[in-house]
Amino acid sequence: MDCRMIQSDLVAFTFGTPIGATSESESGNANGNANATSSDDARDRIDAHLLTCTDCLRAYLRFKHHVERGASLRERPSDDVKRRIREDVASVVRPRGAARVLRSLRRPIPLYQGIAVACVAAGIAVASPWIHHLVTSRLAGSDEGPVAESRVDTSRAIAQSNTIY
Amino acid sequence: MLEADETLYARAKEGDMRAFDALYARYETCLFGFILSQVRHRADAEDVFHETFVNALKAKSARFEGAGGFRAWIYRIARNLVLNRARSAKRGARALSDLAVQPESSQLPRPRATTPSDEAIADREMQAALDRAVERLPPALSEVFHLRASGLRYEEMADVLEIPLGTIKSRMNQMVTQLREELRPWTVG
Repeated sequence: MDCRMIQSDLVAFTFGTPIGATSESESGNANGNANATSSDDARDRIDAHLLTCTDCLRAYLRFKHHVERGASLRERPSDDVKRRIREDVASVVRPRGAARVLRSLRRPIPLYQGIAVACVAAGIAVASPWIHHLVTSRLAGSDEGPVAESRVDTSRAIAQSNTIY
Repeated sequence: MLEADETLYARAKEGDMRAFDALYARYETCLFGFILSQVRHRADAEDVFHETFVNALKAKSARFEGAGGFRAWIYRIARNLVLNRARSAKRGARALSDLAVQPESSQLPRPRATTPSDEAIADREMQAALDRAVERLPPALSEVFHLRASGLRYEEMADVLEIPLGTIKSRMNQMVTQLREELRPWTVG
């Protein structure tokens, strides 16, 4: 395949439009895909040629580079803009309280879940004497329930004498 | 494994800022480049870029049912913001200053010989020629040029511009034809 011919199709090849069509035929081709089959063949031939011809490969890469620069794809917003966006987004989406804890526990890292289980177990161990005391005192309290009930002083202050001084 | 944009977006919505960082890194250059190409002024482009991301993350319910998914969706947000801004600033003085700096002559300089010693100069001239050719594209063709250069598929472009796929193909052909004609001295050795 002729290098000159390929380079004339460089623009179409780069943008992925039908290759090998003249301006006249394309202007009559409203959908732009009538010659898709022949275009695919042409694309394959160009692909094959680029693998063997460094001149054409360089021309293609250079043009692609120019297109990216022309499309401002080498530009990026400043770090300050990134920081501001990040802050605003964080204030919009930041989870609160329990939701944050829940989300961190949901992370697919076994270590977190292990730590969570260990924390719960340690908490139970530390609190067990107090729990034991609480339970036993409750039970003891419930044993003398009727007695305690009978001891409730429901008397009201009443006059001790009807004598009027 | 590379996570899909949609997955990163969902995680960022839940407050995962690492997911946001990954998403931002993916769109930092291509989306910003697209916005910059449409508004021309860096400060304006940064404002629109900022608004695009915040609006996207603020969206109550985002559904990516079209062919383009998240990418087409965020480009559409950016494009709408650009259009809103253009409408409100249409009468501004900035537009006049833009017109003032546009090249008056459509006559392209002849490319230099492509001997290795002249390669850098020829490169610069080709870049300048391409920039001029892109500037001369009508707005509809300029949009497809920038979207395609950003790596969007035809279906995604149709989704962003909200026009039929056939129209995208037609505009792409027109755009390529125009560029090819203007760049013929550089692309044909």
